[in-house]
Amino acid sequence: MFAKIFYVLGGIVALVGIIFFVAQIWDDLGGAGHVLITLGLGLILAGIGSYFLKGRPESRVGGIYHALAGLLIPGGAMVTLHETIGLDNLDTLWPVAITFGAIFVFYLLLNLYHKNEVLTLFGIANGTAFLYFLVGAIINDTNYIYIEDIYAYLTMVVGLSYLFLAHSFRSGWNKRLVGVFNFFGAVGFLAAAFTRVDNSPLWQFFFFVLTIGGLALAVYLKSRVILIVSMLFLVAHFVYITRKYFADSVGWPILLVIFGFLLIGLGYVSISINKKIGANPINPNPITQ
Amino acid sequence: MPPTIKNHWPVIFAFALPVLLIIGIAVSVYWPFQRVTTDYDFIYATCDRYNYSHPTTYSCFDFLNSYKVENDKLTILELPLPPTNRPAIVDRPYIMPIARLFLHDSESNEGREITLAEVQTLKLSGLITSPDGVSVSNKYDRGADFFPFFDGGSSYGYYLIKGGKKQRLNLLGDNNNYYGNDNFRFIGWIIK
Repeated sequence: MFAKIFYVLGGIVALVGIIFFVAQIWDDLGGAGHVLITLGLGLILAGIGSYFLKGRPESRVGGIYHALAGLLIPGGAMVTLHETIGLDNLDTLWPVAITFGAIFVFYLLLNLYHKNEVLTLFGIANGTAFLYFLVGAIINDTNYIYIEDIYAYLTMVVGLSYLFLAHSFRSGWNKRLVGVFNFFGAVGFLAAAFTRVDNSPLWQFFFFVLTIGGLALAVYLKSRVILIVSMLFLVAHFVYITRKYFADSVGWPILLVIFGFLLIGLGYVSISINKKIGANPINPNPITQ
Repeated sequence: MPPTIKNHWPVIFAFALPVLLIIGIAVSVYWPFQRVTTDYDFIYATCDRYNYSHPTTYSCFDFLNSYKVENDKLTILELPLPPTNRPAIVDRPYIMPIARLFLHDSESNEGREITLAEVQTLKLSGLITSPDGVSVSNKYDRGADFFPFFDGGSSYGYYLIKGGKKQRLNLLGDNNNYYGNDNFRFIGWIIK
């Protein structure tokens, strides 16, 4: 435990030191220096991380090196693009999308070899960035007007993918990522769906179905994270609907009373579901992430 | 169901969903029938304004407003010289902005300059929407821009718009930038 804390602290201190050092000498370095100190250093740290993961898989030091590398490599790749083709005058997103695609494949291959959760995390993060840049590259300067809509639907799909990934992680070496991906999956899906609600009665109804579906999913997966996120979005939607349709007719004080009872009711439901998740006779050791 | 798929269905779904969405977006964007086209060509005018420093000069926007379609023909309203409120400052003669007229071929998305006499032989519709339901509209174009990583600059562009689709127009002589988007005026669709 102590070793782990020291590893993490050491990693953070080293990272802060690197950032300050690089900031100090950035203007004095040429283009090649910028690439070396970001992408080059990132790849060296990844190499050291892989050495430790292979040689001492039981210690966490390999993961720490890979975490530092994972923070440097995407930025380093962007610096490399900037120094070679220039990012400021770019009129297409294709080079950025292809770069993130390459980083995603790099982490995918590295992870197939090492099977480490830190690599999974960075692989999925870069894969997600790749998706957004790819869609950006496809729709940039084409026939579409409703670009925000596409990003909303993409975010919903990414959220669903995260939930599927979290489900697949439950019994493997990525077990500790289940909670993280359940959280980002549920927030991404419901937040993106919530942006569709305004001025669309169909979505206003459908969003209730989605949040209640989220509660049901929380029970099915025994996930407190999904329960809390779904409940918060359900409350937000109740508040939205009440303010939109009932604020003028019932007045502000009555509205507050309705909100209060609504919160009490939803709190009671969530406590009941939470108990159901905790005391599941089918699965005596439920995963509650 | 093969055991590999049965065991790994969440991962397969996780990867398949975004891939399917991307394929859907790519097909809908690159599908040729998604292009906005119209059977009608149109006339537009652009304006050059040389005497910016003249205190009472017409803006291109006001000047081009004198070009109107009335009774299916282009008519140019007579503009008076702008009133000079501060004559002492004006030390050079007032020159009206210069308008140029263009015929835009919608099929090839190309334009050519034509004379006023030639335009006045054409039958025009002054509505912004063509008889087949396509409109000309300007839109703030953000360029390749992905906040917060980089900003690819921004400009006003003119588009053919129908429903949720748009097609950028290759126009001649418009100041396609943020500050100077007042020097384009759509005159009218050519009715065959």
